[in-house]
Amino acid sequence: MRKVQIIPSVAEIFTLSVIFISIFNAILRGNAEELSQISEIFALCGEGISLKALAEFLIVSVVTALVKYLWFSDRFFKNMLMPLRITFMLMSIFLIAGVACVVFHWFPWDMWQAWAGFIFSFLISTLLSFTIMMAESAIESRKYSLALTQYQDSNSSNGEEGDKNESRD
Amino acid sequence: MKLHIIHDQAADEPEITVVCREINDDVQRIVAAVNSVNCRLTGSKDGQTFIIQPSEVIYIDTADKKIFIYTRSEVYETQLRLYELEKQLPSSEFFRANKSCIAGIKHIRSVKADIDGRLLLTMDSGDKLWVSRQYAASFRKKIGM
Repeated sequence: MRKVQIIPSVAEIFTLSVIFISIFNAILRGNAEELSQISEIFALCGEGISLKALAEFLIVSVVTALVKYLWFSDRFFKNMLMPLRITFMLMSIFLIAGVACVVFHWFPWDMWQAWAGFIFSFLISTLLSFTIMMAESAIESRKYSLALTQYQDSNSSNGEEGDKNESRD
Repeated sequence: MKLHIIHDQAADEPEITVVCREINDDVQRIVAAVNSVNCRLTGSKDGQTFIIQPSEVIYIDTADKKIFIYTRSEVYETQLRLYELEKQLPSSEFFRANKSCIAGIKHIRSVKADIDGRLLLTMDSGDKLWVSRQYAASFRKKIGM
């Protein structure tokens, strides 16, 4: 597990949020007028993201990074199993995002379609994250195997050379 | 690298001198190899004490505050502490996998990185050992990653 570093983590979450919202802005540009009535994220009618929304994303990014740090740091939970850490982290992020949606009026809290979309997006993101993590582990394993084989070969060949030299004499 | 072997009937015991410009990885490996020749472990089993070559050791593990040496076919108990064994064994061939275990590098059959940063080793004997996150970094460094 890579150690969670707060500032790079904030930057990563914030950048990804802005990229995704920009993509949504571009896709939903035709309905921008309608969307601006129900969500503050689309307040500029598809012309960009407001400074207020950017500040909100930054706040959520900071809180999310802190939560990630909290669950993945050995400082707070030393002997917690990894599946448990991931589960708690996902639950915390889900809660943070949910609260942010209501507090920052990203969509009306009584609109079930919006909540359904939110949950669906969260599940898709989680699935994607898991896939990426598994792929990363597989790549890492291959690197380890390669390095280990090289190390074992170099050590055993050293031993063999020594044996050969000894037998020559 | 040049190797000179001089036969001297007057020599009491083999003597090795390494002439080098700097102590690099190769030199350290030579030193480890020389040390491993001198290294012998002892382990007991069924009331008998056995001499064990380090090359036979697949891993050393702790269970119920006792230390056991695992070879391909036998398990021996030793009175030495894990840190003492760690000092005795050649560092190029062994490493600390976690707080209670020392693993033999040449007996690792496969290594798998887990998502939590630990490593799962499958040893030649088929036994599986975890390398904790704490020790994974030094293992990475040792195998040149």
